Amino acid sequence: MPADSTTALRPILRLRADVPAPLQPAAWKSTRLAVVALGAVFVLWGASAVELGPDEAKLGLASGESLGPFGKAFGYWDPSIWPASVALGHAWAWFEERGPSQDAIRWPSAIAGLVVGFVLARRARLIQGPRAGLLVALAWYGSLGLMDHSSANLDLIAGLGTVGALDLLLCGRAGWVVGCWASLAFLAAGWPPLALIAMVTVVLGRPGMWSWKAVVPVAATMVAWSTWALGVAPAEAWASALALPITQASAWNLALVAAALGLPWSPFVLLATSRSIREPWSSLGHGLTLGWIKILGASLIVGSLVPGFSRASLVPALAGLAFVSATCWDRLWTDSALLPEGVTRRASRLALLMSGLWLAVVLGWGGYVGFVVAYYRATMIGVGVVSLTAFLLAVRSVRLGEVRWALGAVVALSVALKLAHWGYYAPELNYRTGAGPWGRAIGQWVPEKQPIYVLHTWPADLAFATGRPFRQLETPMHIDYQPGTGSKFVLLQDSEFAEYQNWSKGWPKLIKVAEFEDEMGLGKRYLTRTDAPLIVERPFRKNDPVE
Amino acid sequence: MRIGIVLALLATASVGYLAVETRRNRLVWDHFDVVKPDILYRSGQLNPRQLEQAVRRYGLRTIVNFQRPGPGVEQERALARTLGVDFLNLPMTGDGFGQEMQFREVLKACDDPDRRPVLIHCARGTCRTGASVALYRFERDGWTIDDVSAEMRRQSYKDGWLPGYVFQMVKTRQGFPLPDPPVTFDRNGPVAGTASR
Repeated sequence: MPADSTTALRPILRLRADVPAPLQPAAWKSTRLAVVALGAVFVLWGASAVELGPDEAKLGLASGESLGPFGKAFGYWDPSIWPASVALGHAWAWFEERGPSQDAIRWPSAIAGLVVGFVLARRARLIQGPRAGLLVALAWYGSLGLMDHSSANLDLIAGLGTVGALDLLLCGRAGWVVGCWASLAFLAAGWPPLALIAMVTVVLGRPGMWSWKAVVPVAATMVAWSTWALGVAPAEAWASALALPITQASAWNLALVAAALGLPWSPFVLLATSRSIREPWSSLGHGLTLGWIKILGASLIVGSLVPGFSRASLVPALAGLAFVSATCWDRLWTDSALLPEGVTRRASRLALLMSGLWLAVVLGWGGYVGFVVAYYRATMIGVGVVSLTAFLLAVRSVRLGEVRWALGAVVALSVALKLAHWGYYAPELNYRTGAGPWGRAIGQWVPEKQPIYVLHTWPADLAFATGRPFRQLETPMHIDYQPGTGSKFVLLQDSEFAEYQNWSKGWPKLIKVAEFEDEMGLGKRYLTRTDAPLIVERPFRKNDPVE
Repeated sequence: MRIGIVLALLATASVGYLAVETRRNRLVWDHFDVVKPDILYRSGQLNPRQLEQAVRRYGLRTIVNFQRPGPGVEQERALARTLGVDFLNLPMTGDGFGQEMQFREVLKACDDPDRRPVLIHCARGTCRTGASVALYRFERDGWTIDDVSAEMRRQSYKDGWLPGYVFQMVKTRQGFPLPDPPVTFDRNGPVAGTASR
């Protein structure tokens, strides 16, 4: 009886461990999908959960005004607000029924963070293989900075332009696309990102990093923006926007901030100090990773020392941390058996230390919160279970000397941090410090789209939370000269409300609409309106009678 | 494996300890929270030692108890007398559907600089206390009904009735009366007696 014919697949032999294996189309597709899924879970899920802080609220106020070379807050040009973020806010608000809401600020930022991760993961995947791409995506999306992307002074839209340009420059492909990325960075944050890109180009000093094609779009953008600015705003506003960065203080703690925002992945950058980790990288991969190490170093030094550069430097620094950390993990995963025992042990112990510390925090603070506040109980149970899993994986890694379990521990740690951020940090921060309820309390009395006039600067987050345009006036006399017919709403503080009885005769009479205690119970706010018919203006409709 | 068993035992013991202590109301001040510093605080039923600590820590001048008269209320009344703070008993059913006059007594205490800070509490600090805080938020802070409901949910009130119940007591609520009610009426139909012949 003849034997059945059998077929066998011959495994792919990789004779050169330092050269990445050729990628199969299926692997490409699945890696891309996995990267997007990671971004969706870590960044997009709960992207708009945290209410806007004072700085972001100015951006929100500007998104409700007409688009200009600078943003407008309280009715005036604000040179600290650049047009790219405002334009994205406008675009998002266009789809909202009543906008702009905080989504118009949070979502573009989150999507920019998603794209940055995609750019980084794509490059790692192309040069170092799909696993490296996936690990870079994990280290970027799974970091605290990207989960939060709100209260950490992270400008992800300018960061997208900066990282996009640096990514291409690292590959020696200076060209039109680099110029476009850099132009985006300029329109989102001014010249500091451009200076940073130029500085990094000098530090890297590689061939193919300089091209007129990269410079022309940036120069054209700067000229166009300056022309626009000088055409619609005073020259002082243009000069203020350019001079503003150098008026700020140095950020000496930038390295600490970056390390904290890069958690739980950032400490593993230290593994790159080991020669055995660095040596076997393919020359191209080594060059790429070495390039990101240089970018990391340059960003931290420039951002710490030069006034006004900290914000522009933070995202490239975080990208460098994520890229280098992920490359180290790729090496640990691929060749854990070939690496010296000391290196793998160091990685496992680091994972154990971090997961142990986090577990202690969760058992202490999380246990307390879970028992005391029933609202957070389910969240804390979930965080506790995932944190315990992370710790046990790290213990197993140390006991067996198998570093792959440690990677599982770090991934679990990222998931636990995300859960804690979404289920506890964001709602608690909103409840304790959010201006939302206080602003909405005022806004509910004012018809939609009608501005609220104030006589001094109010907190931007409170102004934004009212959901109405805010206009600051120099004197009450100007109220009657504001556009629009009918009654105008004026928000006053205690002292102003007491004084208005003694206003000059020519100043408008006010009627009290509502009064509110402030957050600390220290004073009152009075919403008033001028003594005129209350006209609720609405957009012109097709069948409206035409006079 | 052994480490896992030890950890599991430790975790079980910790959770059991926390559960028992919480049940006996010794671990933490039950549902305690700051509504507005130096004006209004809220909690569930505190034991005498906790109440004494709260009075000293926050300088409380008035304690409001929403529970029905009984030995517990009398004990608290005596303690308040000992501590030299005012005591107000506003008994109402546990579901929080008290009378407007009762909730307004709390506002009166909060508005009087000589009587605040005020601690309001019931048994769990959820329904009766929550309803009272809701009226404060509506009338003094001007919060919207959505925000008041969200705060009540965060403070463990799971049903949806009380915010609406309290809202109808609010004197300054938006909508009624409109500050300048626009009423326009265009009579466009045929006027009686002038119909086409």
